[in-house]
Amino acid sequence: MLRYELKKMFGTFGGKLALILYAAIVVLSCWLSTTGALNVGTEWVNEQGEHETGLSAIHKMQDAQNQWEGYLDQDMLTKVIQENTRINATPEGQSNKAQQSNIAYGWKQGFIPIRELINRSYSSGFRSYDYYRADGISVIKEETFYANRIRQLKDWLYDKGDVAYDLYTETEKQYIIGQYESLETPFYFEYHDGWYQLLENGGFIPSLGILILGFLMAGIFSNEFKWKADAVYFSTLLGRNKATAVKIKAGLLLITILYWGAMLIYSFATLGYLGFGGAGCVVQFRVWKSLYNITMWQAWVLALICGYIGNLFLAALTMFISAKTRSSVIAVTTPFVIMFIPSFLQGMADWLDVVVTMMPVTLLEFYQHLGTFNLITVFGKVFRTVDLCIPLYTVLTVVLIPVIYREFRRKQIA
Amino acid sequence: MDLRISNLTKDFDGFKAVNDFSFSMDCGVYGLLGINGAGKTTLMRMLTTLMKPTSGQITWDGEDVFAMDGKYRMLLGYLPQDFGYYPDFSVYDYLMYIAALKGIRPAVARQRVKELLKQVGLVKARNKKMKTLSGGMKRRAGIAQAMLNDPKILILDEPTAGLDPSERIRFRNLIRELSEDRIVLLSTHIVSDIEYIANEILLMKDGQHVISGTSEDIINSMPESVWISRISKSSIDVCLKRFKVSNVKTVPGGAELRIISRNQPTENAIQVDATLEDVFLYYFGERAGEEDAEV
Repeated sequence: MLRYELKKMFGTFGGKLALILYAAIVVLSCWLSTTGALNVGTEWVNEQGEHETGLSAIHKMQDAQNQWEGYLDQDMLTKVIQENTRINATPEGQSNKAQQSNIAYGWKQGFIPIRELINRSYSSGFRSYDYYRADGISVIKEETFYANRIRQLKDWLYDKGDVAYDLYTETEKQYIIGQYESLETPFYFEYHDGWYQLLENGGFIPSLGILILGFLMAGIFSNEFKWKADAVYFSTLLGRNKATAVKIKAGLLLITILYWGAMLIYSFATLGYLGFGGAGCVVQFRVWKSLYNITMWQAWVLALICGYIGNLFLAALTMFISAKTRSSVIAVTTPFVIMFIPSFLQGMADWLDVVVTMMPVTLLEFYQHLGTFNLITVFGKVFRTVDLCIPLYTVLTVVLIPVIYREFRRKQIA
Repeated sequence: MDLRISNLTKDFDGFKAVNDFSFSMDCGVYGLLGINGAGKTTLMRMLTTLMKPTSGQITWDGEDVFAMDGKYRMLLGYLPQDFGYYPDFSVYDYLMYIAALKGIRPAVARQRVKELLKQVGLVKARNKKMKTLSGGMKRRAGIAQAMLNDPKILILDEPTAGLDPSERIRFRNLIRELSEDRIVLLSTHIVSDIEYIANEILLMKDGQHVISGTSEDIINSMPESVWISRISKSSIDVCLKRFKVSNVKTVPGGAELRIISRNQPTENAIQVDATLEDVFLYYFGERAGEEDAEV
């Protein structure tokens, strides 16, 4: 029976087109992550100050950065500062000419991500950033390097002139500080461009994909009415029980197989091209202010789980609308409405902003929320919105399944 | 084998599509005759559990069919009036899917589908997509799906509507073949279909059970007589307004009318035997002639 349900979905022109479009989104995501087209791709600046791209550039960057592999302790930070200072003192480092500067930059490529953290740590405030800050540092202390992050945060949270002062309650402020303080140091560094690109571009498949898959989900129930096959369907032995359950199963199975298949292809294509190294680096290398004290691979697992829960929920909701309204058109708009509501509501009112951060989009674009301070206090306990969204949408999906079943099996055919 | 309808009513916002309908059926072919909007489809939808009645009851061997749920639907074969299908399924896949919905195991279903494809003459079209079939072939696929579970109750709603004469005859013969050892309830507004196949005829009007019995019983129930009268062309309109006319046949110099009347309508009128079509016109009046021109 399951085979026939899937055949109903993919037998139509629309079903085949949806599958092609979904595959196109996977290809697009892989292209974006391997080229860094939407952010910063992996580029190697060679000895002549020229830019190189492609696989050889990636391998050179990998080799260069892995020479700096290790914990960012006093020794490593000192070495970085010393090397940075040495390069700056060379004629190329002093030159105002672009090509000479590029050559100097090329010598720094091995420790650029560490230099970036130093810039952030020693910038003047929590919300400021100075690209040349590391160049002005001659002596660095490990304790200060890590403590600056917490100090800047506290200054920002308790600055009466800043919006953050009133934005968070004292409990929330303490929670944020607690998260910062509990981040394990020293950080471990190695080349991690693969994981960075994986996370950065990992939201396209869950968020764009569900809009496409919505077309398949929308017809699961309503097409019975559209094709006028409902009368025969409901007059059969299993139409009002097992066959309805199989429809739900087909929808959820389809989402599961396509989502995990797509994400697996995307993960292996990205990491296979850019390198698997750096899985154990903390996400703060790329999202310095993040409240999440997790490594790159942990962030990716979390992104995968969030995306899956978000997709499952939206699929179940689309199926429910399809069963309830008997209309594919109304059902197919469901994911679009849910996805685009936040853009309209954001900034209208504080309480609406909270609602917006609790929408399923938060799950679909997990990486975009890695650096935000979206918090909710429930009975005096502070949660990051994502931490609440995961159980919330899991429960809602589980609740929706019997509701869909009940809704469809009780249909009367006039 | 007793399918009993007791005081069945279906009310749609004050409009009674089926109104206090009672009837019982055992083995045989029953023809449900009525004009469009008489409530035939609503009655059939309740008999197939697709729609719950507002009041009244349908029982199978004394047990409420809605309470029986799957146990009742297991006995059921249904070909709806507006027969829908999955357009991109082949005939074979369509039948196999419906067999799965009817809880028939795949091995048994394969054999049954093979037999039915042969019986309805669709063996050559088994791999054709449903959407590419002609109207008659779709109807035959429809009857095949209804027969998959060898149902005790076969409900066919307007099975010959839209078919050309040869397809209609073929379909009627097919229904006759399939009617052994089961209840077949066949709704139509095409009198000739019923006349040929049904053992018992039910006339339905405005949601109510008007009369039932064999073709002869129903013909004999008509309190008026049928007359053939030859008239001039100029008198046709006058006669059509004055009498119930079941047929107008053009003849040289005028027309030959088939008139239903208690008394001799014209001087030259000759009394003839009534047919079911005359009875249909008698009970359903002018609307039968206007809306159901296929009689």
